[in-house]
Amino acid sequence: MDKVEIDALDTELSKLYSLEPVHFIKVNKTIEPLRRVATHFLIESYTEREWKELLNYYYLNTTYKFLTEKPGEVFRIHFFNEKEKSYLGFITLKPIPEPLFILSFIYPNFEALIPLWKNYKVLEGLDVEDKIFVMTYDRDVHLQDKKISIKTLAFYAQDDMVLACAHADILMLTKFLNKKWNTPEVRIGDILEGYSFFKLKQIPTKGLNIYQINEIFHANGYTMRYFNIEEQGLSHKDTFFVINSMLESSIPVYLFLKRCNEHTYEYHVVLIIGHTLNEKTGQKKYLIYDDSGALFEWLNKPRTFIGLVSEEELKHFLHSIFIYEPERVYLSSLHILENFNKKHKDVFPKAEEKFNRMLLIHNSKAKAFFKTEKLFVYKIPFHKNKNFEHNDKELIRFIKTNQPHYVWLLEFNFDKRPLYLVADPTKHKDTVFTPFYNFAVATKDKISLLYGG
Amino acid sequence: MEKKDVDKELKEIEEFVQAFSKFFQLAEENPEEYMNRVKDYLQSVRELDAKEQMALSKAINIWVK
Repeated sequence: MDKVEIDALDTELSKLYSLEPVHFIKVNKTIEPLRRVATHFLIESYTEREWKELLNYYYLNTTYKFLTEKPGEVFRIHFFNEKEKSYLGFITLKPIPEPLFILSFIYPNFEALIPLWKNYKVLEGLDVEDKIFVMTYDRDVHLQDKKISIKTLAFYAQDDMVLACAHADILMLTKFLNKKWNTPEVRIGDILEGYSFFKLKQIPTKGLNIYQINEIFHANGYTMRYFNIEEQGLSHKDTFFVINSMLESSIPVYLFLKRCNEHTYEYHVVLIIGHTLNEKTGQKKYLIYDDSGALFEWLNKPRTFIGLVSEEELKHFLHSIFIYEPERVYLSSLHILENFNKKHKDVFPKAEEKFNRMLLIHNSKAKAFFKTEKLFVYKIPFHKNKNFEHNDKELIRFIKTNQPHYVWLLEFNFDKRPLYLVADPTKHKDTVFTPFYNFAVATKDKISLLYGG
Repeated sequence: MEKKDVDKELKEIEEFVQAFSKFFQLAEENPEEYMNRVKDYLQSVRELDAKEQMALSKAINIWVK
């Protein structure tokens, strides 16, 4: 098949599935941010591992007629903007005539989409002056005789029979971390077989219990922290400090939401994958992947696969968070914050006024950043009567010697000049010393682990 | 930025770093204050860790769909 104008998408889908265009309302709404900026599309068949797994667990036992030529194949639809000569990414659709659940993956190409989303105001709540920062990894797409490299984060939609939102978000989170952080690969089978607690018949899915989610993560080699905002009495400030630290580190946040109905509670889970920032007003909104669109519906927003939600809006539904911390990170962002607040309190109130963000980074990236961007390095003396001085020695020692796999960076803003402190996450949690290194670095530019701007 | 602004900013940064660095010398300069800070930290970090464990135990009935 060749490229076809976007207006013909419903007709082509109707032909493929032998259904009416009205049946594709849900999938059309979900992919709206792609469809609205596309001028053309192209459909091909594509072998998809996750579909093969779903076939094995459920769909092969049904009477559905599969619409692709070979088992294991889905329909893959590529989207293009011919005016901008850009490739926007692709979606995959299951080959079964069950239109509410045909959507499988969306692989948006953020490199091409971000400028278009800004120009055409595609995301509700996005202002022209907002910068968008999103977690991405590089993925090659093979399209006929061409290879296209995209910056993406895979979105996966639940089928509500084998997988619910809890499963879909585990799949999205682990797929991203596997590509970006080299963590273990997790398949649908690893999720379904990854727990024993409270296990009942799995199909149709009843969703997952928080204990089961925890079991699945640990069974697959993911060391997680759990924060329950209400039960732990976490302040909103601390909650968003943890969320923001993970986002800046390029680690998606697995976020539990709770909505109070008249006599019951409804729970849902989404992934936070980035944020916007208006530098003039300082206003920030969170970029969220919502596999069913339930959160967006609670907020009366369009049920698209990706959306923007402010801190104020999230506050009403926040229940708890799971965050991934690599195994060798023993001190969490809150441990480091407590060390800073309790031991280095001579810097307050200045620290509160100047604090910008905190992030976890591979030591080699921190070393490379400081090497190229350093303006001034301040050496901090360990003993009294030793002079505080401008001195590169400690930074050079940091760069040239073996360091923990990951380090925490604390960033402070002095007008436009950032200042960084570095903390070691492998220290004992009860250290009577400080996890901070004895140097501070003022740099020319800021470090970013997210794509965009 | 004008030179006087740059100088002001650098002075601000230096004051900040000096204030941050005080804890590094506190054990020698003021042992009592040093121990108070360490105790404050130990207390808060113990609460933090205990709360994480308790929070998970209270989540037993939560199902996400």
